[in-house]
Amino acid sequence: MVTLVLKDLLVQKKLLGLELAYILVLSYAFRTMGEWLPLSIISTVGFMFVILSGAWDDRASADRLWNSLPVPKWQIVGSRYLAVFVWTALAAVLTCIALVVLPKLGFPTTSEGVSLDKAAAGVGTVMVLTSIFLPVYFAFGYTKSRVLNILVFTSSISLAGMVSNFMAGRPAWVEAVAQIGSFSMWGASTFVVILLLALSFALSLKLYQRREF
Amino acid sequence: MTPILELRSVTKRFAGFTLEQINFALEPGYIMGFIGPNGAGKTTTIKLIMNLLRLEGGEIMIFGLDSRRHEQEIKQRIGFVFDESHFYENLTIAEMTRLIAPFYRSWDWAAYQKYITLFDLPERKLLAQFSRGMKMKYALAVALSHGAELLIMDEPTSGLDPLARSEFLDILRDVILDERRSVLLSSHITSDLDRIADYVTLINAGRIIFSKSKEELLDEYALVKGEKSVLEAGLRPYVVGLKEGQFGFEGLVTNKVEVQRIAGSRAVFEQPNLEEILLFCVRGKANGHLGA
Repeated sequence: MVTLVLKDLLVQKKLLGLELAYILVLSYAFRTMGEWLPLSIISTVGFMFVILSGAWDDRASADRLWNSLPVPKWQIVGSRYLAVFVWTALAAVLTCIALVVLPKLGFPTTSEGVSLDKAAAGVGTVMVLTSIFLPVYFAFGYTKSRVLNILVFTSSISLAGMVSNFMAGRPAWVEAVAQIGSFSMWGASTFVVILLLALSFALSLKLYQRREF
Repeated sequence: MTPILELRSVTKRFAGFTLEQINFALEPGYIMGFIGPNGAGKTTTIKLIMNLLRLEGGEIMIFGLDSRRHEQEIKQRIGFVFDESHFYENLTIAEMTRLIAPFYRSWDWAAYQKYITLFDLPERKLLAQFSRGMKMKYALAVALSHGAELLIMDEPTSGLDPLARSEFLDILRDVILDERRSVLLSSHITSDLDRIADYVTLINAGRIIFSKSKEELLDEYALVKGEKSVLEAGLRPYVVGLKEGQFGFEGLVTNKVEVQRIAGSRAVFEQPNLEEILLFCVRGKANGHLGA
């Protein structure tokens, strides 16, 4: 399974420069989002790479290749989920570095830096988006799931903006949730995200086992 | 001896096409040519063997094992060459092989290097820069580098120019015949199989027309040419495929010995090649016209 994750990295290695460029563009374009900027960039860039992995496989009709080799289907599906952690970690690290370094170089972006909770929220957002996207991808393939990609991708960007505006008003329930204690809240959120990923994996595997190549 | 590959009553239905009751077997150490016109069901059959499509009826036994229940074990022992490249074009073959090799328990790097050198493949060149012939040779190198006992090739020569096709077939003949692997090779280019096949299975419109050794085929079938009066003298029951003109006919007949007895010196007999057998069997008796 690790080999298949390595495959994603190898196939997309030349796009890492693009990832950096994308972070720069988003750092400028979304600079008014303030402390929510890291969440937007990490979720956008991380999810973009999840989608691009599918695009490369589709271009080569790689499902036929991997399914003709002695590779169990659970590994093919599982590797895609495992790769999500790699892409998100990469997006998070690069975004954090960019948002710390760029203001010091005079680049017009937010000067609020990166807080751990916003970066973690970005990582969580990619996981949630992926949980929705991958079952559709494994059921219908990349080409047919492209419509969903566009919907999920654009709505995630719009949602990020809406959330930042909404949270700025500090509604009552946000205050109430804040009283629960950050440790419990993050613990519960992490549990929900992992549960969502696990359910998504089980569904993806079931759907992929029905696919024909 | 247990066949290395056996299909029993294999069935698969699509809208507008059905693969119906497919039966054939390949004995260890032989090369079977799987022939038929485009759309006959060759690729569908091969995809069913490889579990790329779901079987709807019948069973497929490979190495004596059920192809669905022992899929991973079987795929360890199979080398598969597609009709087109499914490798990542932005990788070199060195990178591509690093991704494929770990999945095979008996991957043999020395054998791989031998074939890469033999096929003259540049390891540091991107697959996007490879010609179709080079990609096919690379696919063959991969298929041969893990001790596969059965090679399955789906139209490996289609789309290759005559030079590349000839070179690919020479490699196949030299490498495979030397090592006596079992091979199922599908092609609609029958001249490819004239050179190397031990057995020939003909499929048309989703049904197997015959599955026989090449010797049996050549013993059984004959190409007959003569005047129409000869045809009417008792030959018709033996005719498999026919082209008729105003005065004469040309046809493929079975039971060569009996037909020779009936026609005597009034007809000319020739040994058909696989292409002629395929053409006459597929066209049948109804629609051929001499000179058409």
